[in-house]
Amino acid sequence: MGQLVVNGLALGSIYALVALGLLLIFNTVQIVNFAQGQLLMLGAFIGISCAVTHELPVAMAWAITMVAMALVGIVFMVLVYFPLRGRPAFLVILTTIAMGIVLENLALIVWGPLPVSLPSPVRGPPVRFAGVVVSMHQIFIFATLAVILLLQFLFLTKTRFGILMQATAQDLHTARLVGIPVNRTIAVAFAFGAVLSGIAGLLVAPIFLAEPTMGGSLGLKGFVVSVIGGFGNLPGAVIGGLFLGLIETFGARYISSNFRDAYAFIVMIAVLVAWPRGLFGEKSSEKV
Amino acid sequence: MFYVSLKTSVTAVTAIWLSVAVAADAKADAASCPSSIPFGLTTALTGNLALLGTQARNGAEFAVDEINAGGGIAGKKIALTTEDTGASSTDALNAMNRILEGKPLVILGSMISPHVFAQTEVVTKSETPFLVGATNAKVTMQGSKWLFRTHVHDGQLAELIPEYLVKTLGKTRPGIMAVADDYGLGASKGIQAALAKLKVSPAAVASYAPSDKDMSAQLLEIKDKDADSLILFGRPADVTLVIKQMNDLGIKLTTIGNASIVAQTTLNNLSAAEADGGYAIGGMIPQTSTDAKIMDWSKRVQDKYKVPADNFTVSYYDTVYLLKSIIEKVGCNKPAIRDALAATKDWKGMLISYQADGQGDLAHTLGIYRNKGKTPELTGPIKESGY
Amino acid sequence: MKSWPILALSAAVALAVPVVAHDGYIIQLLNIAILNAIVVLGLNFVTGWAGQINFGQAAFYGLGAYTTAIATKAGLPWIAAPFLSVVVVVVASLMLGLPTMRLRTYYLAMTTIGFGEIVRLMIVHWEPVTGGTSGLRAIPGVSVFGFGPQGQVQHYYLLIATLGLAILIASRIRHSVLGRAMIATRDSEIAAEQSGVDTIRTKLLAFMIGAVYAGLAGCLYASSIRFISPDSFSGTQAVLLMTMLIVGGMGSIAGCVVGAVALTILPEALRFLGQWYLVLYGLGVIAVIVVAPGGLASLVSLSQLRRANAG
Repeated sequence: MGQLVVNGLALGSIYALVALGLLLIFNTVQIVNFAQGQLLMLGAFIGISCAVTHELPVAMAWAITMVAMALVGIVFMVLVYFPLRGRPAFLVILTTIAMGIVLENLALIVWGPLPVSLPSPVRGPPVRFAGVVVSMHQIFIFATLAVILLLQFLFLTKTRFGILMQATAQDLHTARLVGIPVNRTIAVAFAFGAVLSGIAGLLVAPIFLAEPTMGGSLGLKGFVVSVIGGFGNLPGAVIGGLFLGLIETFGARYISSNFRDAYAFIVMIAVLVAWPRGLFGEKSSEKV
Repeated sequence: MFYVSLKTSVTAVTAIWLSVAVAADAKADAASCPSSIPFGLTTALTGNLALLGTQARNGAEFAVDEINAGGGIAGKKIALTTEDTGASSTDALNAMNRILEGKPLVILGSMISPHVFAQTEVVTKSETPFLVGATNAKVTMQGSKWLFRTHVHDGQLAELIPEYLVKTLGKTRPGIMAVADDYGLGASKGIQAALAKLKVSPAAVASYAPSDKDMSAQLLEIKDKDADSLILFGRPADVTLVIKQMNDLGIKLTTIGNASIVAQTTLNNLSAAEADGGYAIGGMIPQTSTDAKIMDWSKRVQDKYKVPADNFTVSYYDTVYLLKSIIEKVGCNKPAIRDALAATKDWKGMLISYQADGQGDLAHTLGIYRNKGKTPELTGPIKESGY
Repeated sequence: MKSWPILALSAAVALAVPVVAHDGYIIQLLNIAILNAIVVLGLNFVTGWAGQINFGQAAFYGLGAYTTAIATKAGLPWIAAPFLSVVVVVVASLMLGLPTMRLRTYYLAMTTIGFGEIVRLMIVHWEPVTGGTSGLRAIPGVSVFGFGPQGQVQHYYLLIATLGLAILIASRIRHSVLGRAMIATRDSEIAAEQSGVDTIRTKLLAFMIGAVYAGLAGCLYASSIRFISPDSFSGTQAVLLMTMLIVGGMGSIAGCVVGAVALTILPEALRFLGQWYLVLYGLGVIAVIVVAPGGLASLVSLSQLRRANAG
C-alpha cells in the first residue's frame, strides 16, 4: 500500500510538471497548448541524442536539452501564437493539436518507433523502508519538482521580470499600455513552458523509456490535472497532479486496471460538475 | 481430287488436338504465369502498429528480392505490391480494396487480427489465396476456404503456456498480465480457460492499456495476491516496462509469456539481470539459431531494414518460398494454389515444418525460449498436441 | 444564399459518379466519405453554429454503429436499428450535455475528449457484447421488408439520398428560430441571453441533433461496411472529424461535405507519402486555420465576393 503511494506520487509529479509548463503558457497568453506532451517527448529525445548517441555526460545532456527546449518554445510561439492572436479558442486548440501531430510524426521519421532508454542522472541502490522500495530516480523526481516549484515561486514573486510576467498574465493589454515589454514576457513564458516539459521528458525516459508516441497520453493527463486544480492555479496544478497520480495507481490496483485511463477523466468530470472552476478556482475570470 | 474420309479427318484432328493439349499441359505451370507474377501484401507501415507490421513487409520483400535475384519463379519475376493498412480496420479494408484492383495471384495479410477480420470477406469474394500471420485464434474459424495462416496462433499459446508452466515448471498460482488490446485480451481469455482445464486458478488477472507506462499497480496486485509466477502477454515496448518495473519493485516471479520476452527490441532495453530467467513460448525466432546460414540471413535482414528480424519476419519469408514451391508445381492458377496450400504436408521452412490442418492453419511448432542474461536460448521446440 | 445551378450540378455529378467509376475501391471510399460527411454535418450544429467545441462526435458515431450491429446481430429486424441508435445517442448526448452546458471552452474540450475515451474503453472491455478489440463482423445489411441494397453501387445511392436528406434538414434548421439561436449563442452567449435566447436549451438541442446525425451515420456504417471495431471511433477519429469541419468550412453546410470528402480521400491518395503524410496533414491544417479560418468554403465565397465587386 505504501508502495502504491510512492509510485503514485512519482507519477503524479510528472503530471504536475506537464501541467506547470502548460499553465505557464496559459497564464500569459490564454492558450492551452495541446502539444505539451509532444514537447515532453522532444525533451526526452534531445536528451537521448546527447547522452546516448553522442555519449555526453548526463549532466551536460540535461543542460543542452534545457537550452534547446527554450529555443523550441520560442519557435513554437512564433509558429502558433503570433499567427493566431485574437482567433477563437477552439481554432487555437486545433492548431496546437495539429502541431502535436507534426512533432510526433517528425519524431517517428527521425528517431524511428523503437523505444529507447535514457540513463538517470542519479545512481545508487534503491532505498528500502517499511516494505516500500523507493528508487534513487524517484527521489530525484520529487527533488526536481520541489526545486522547480521553489525557483518558480521566487522568480515570479521576487524578481522584477517575474512580477512583470504576472502583470502580463493578469491583463495583457494594460500591461502593454504601461510599457511592460509584453512580447518579451510572452517569449519567456513559452520558453520556460517548453523547458518544464522537456525536463519532464528527461525524468520520464529513464523509467518509461522514450518513443515518439509517448507524448499523447502524458500531455492529456497534464491537461486533466490543470482542469482539476483549476486553470491558471499553479499550486492547484501540483496538488492536482499528485492527486491524480495516486488515484490512477490506487484505482488500477483496487478497482480495475482496465479503466485506468478513464479514472483521470471521471475524476475531472466529477470535479467540474461540483466545482465548475476547478478545485482551487481559476485565476482569470471570463471576459465579456 | 484429294479425298479424305470424315472418319480420318476427325481422328487426325482429335489426335493432333490431344497431343497439343498434352504438350501444352506439361508446360502449363510456367506458361500459365504472366511474365510478372503479381503478389499483394497489406500490412501496417504507419501508425502505432507499424513496429509490428513492418516485419511482414521485411520478411516478404526480402524473400521476393532473393527469388527475383535468382531468376524468379520458373523464369518469371514476382511483382510485390504493398499497401499500408495504417492503424484502423477501415483503412485496412481500403488497402485491401486497392490491392484487389491489381488482381493479384495471392495476397499476404498482416499479423494484425482486427485488420484481417475486416478484410476476409472481400478477399474471399475475390477467390484469391489469402495468407496471414494474424494470431487471434478465431481468424481461421471464419469459414473461408481461401484463408491460410502460416504463423502460430494464440489458441496454441493459450494451451501450451499454462501447460508448460504447470506441468514442467511446477507453478500453480500464476498472475496474468496482458496488454488490453485484441492480441493480449484474446490470449488472456484463452489462457484462463486452459488454466481452468488444468484445475489451476490464477491469483490475479490484470491488464494495461497499450500506451500505459506505469504498470506498478498491476504488479503490486499480483504480488499482494501471492502469485508464484507471472504470465505476461504484450508487445516488446510494454513488456520491457513490465519487466523493468518488476525488478525495480523487487518482485521476483518466474515469468513466462509470448515471444516479446525474448524479442531483440525488448532485450536491447533491459539489463542482463532484468532479462535473465524469463521464459517465452512462441513463433520461432532466428536469434537463437546456431546455423551459419540463418545467422547470416538475420544479419542481412537487419542491415537492410535496421530492425532485428523476429518470428514474423521468418514466417513471411517462409510463406513466400512456400508459394514459390507451390506455383512451380501447379502454375499461376488460384484454385490450384489454394488446393495445394490446403494439402501442404511437411514443407520445410527456415526453422519449422509446415502442415495444413482442416482449418487452414499451417504452423504447429513453437519454440520454448529462456533468457540467459540478455541472450535468449532455445530450450526446445514444442508441438501443438496432435502433431 | 444557395445558388440552385451549383446545387443541381453537384447533385448531377454525385449521381453520375458510379456510372463513370466502376471501381469497387473508389465507390467504397466514397461511401465512407459520405458517412463522414453526415457525421461532420452533425458536428457542425454543435461546433459550427452553436460554437461548442466537441471532441465526442466520434463516440456518438461509434455508439450508433455498435447499437445497430448488436441489435441486428441479435436478430432484431433492421428497421429497429436506426430507432434504437437514435435513442442510445440521445441518451448519451444528454449524459454528456447536461453536466457540461455551463463549461467554458477548454473544460468542454477536455470533457468531450474524456467522454470519447470512456465510451471507447467501455466498448473495448465489454467484450461479450461488443466483441472487444476484435470488433463485430458479419453484420446484417440494410433490409426493409426484405429489400436492401446489394453491392457498393446501390449502397452509394442510398447514402447519397441520406446525405441529401441530412443537408435539407440542416438547411431548414439553419434558417429556423433554433438555428438563429445557435448562431447567436456562438457569437456571444451573454448577449444572446440578454436577447431572450435560452442558451442552455439551445446548446443542448445542438448537441442532441449533432449526436443523432452521428448515430444514424453509424447505423448506416455498420449496415454497409458490415464490420466495425473500436479503432474506427477513437479520439484520433474525433480530431479528424474536427479538422474536416475546419478545413471544409465551419458553419457552412457545403463546407462540411467538401471537408469530409477531401479528408477521407486525401490520406488514401497520398498513401505513398508514408509517415510524411501525417506531417503534411498537420501542417496543412495549421495553414488552413491561419490563412483561411473559414475553411475552403470561405475561399469560395471570397472569390464570389470579388467577382461580384469586380463585375
